[in-house]
Amino acid sequence: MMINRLIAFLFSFALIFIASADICAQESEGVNNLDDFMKRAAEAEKAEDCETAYNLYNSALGEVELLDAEKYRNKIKELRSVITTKLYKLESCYKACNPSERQKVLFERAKSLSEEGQRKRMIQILRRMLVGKNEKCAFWKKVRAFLNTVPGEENINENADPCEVTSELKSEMNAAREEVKKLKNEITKYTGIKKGEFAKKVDSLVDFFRAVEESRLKIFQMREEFMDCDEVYKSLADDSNELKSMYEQTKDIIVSGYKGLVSDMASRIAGLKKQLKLRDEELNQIKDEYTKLKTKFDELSQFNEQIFNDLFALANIESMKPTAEMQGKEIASVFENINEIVRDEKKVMELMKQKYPEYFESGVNVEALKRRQFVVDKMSQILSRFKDSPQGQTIGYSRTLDELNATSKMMDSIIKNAKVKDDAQKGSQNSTIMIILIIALFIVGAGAIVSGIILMKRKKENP
Amino acid sequence: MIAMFKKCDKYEHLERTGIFMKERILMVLVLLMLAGCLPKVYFNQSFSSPEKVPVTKDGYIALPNGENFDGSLILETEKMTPKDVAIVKIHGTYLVAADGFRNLWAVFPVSGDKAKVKRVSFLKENETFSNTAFEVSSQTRCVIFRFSAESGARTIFVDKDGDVEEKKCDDD
Repeated sequence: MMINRLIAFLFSFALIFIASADICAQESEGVNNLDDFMKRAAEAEKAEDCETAYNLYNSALGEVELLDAEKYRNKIKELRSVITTKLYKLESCYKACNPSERQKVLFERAKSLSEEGQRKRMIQILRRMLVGKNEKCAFWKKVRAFLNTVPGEENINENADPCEVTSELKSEMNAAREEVKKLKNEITKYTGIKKGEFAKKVDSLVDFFRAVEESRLKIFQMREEFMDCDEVYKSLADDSNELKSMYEQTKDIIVSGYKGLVSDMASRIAGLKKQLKLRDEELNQIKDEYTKLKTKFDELSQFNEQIFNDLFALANIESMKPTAEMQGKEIASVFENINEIVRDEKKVMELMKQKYPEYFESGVNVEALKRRQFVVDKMSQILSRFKDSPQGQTIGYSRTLDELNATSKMMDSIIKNAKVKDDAQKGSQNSTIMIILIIALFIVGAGAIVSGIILMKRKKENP
Repeated sequence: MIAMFKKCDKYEHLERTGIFMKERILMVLVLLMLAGCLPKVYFNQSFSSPEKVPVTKDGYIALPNGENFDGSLILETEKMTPKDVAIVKIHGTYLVAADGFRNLWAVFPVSGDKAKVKRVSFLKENETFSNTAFEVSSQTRCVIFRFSAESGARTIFVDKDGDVEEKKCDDD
């Protein structure tokens, strides 16, 4: 038991010991790295290789930040301040080591010139680029290395003027400068351009703008090639500035011209929009009206249909329904020839008595029948107005109309016959009265004669 | 492994003084005796040109030669941490100033890694320095301190004791 505990204790101790040794080894490695960076940075600084020194000090600062903050508290602060000061002092030199974008572009241009076979021009550019540069810096070292790889470079006189302009380049430069002058004269055509003229001149203006841009790039490239040659650079820079101002001016003309066009278009669109809005409102109004009318029409149609239905039902009640006998049973029939039926007075009377018994209770009530006929005629007239409407297609419509007409005709026939009889009856009544009156007059005359005779007799008897 | 531990304590071994205290005291006494007997040479402890150095976030200030000191006392008093400070050494004394400071500071190294700090105040209340610059001249034993304050641009002379004179250097 004791032995086991002892072994476990020893094992734990060994583990802790190994772990601490490992941590310490790591820390020691960090310190070694830091010392290494500091040493190499100091050496680079002495060798005036500020770029390497700056990078190494930066790496050293990174190592300082990794140190145990508790254990090396003061040392970290010291190292941080020392390295910060080193970086602070080296910063300007380090920045000079890094080429500007212009220099990078120029280096690429020089390389492309080399590929084009313009070796002399390329060498000139590179030599000018290297003037006053710290060739210990990576970029400038690369430029020098490229320059040295050019075959025949060794044969070129190192003392030759790097700013010398070859005759070939000079003629190229002169052509470019002539182009600048031409453009300078041409721009006056566009400076006073009026608002209305812009649309006509826009194409030539854009061409001019492109020409300015092209010329500007050409001059700019030449200018950059002579970046460190004040005399050549200055005249090219002047041209370049002039072209830049022309470029801006033309751009402004185009932009303001287009703005004018756009604003015109915008106002036209606004007008159109207004018109469209009005039209839209009108349409909405029409739409509203249409909807109202449609609703009204629908309502009227519905009303019409209701009226028709009522009228149709009424007509069916009012009209005579002919029947036919088939196998001993009465079935619905149609009036095939109403005139023939009307001629048969007896049949008509039978049918009418059956349909309208109220008018035949004591003889024929002609006046009432006339009124009924008027109603039937009107009903027929109203119903016939639906002939061309959808209601005219209703099943039984034509038949009902025929029935109404037949009813009216039948009524008419009865009324006519009743009138003739009535007139005859009236004539016989009048002769009876006359006879009575004559008899009465005869009686009165006879009485008067008798009375006269009596009176004359009395006068004779009593004179 | 023991060697590794020793390496690990590389930066601390100088501060471990407790074990050999007696021997150290004895050694210092011997050195002091010897120092009295050692020959002396001229040692110019002045900068030929002033420096502008950065201040770290810890408040430490370092010279390009690697010398550095804890400037937190100065920064706490000034209640600010400038990006950089102007520093110059005049006959062994460091003078420190910065834009936004209300005082000029003189740092006197004493022995070992220790130094005394002296605050030199001559501005009016609420006034601060701007456009601070030290100037070293062969015509004077003082440092010329140029700065601007609310009262305008000014120039003063500062000697190795941190004493300030407006018109001339007392040490000349």
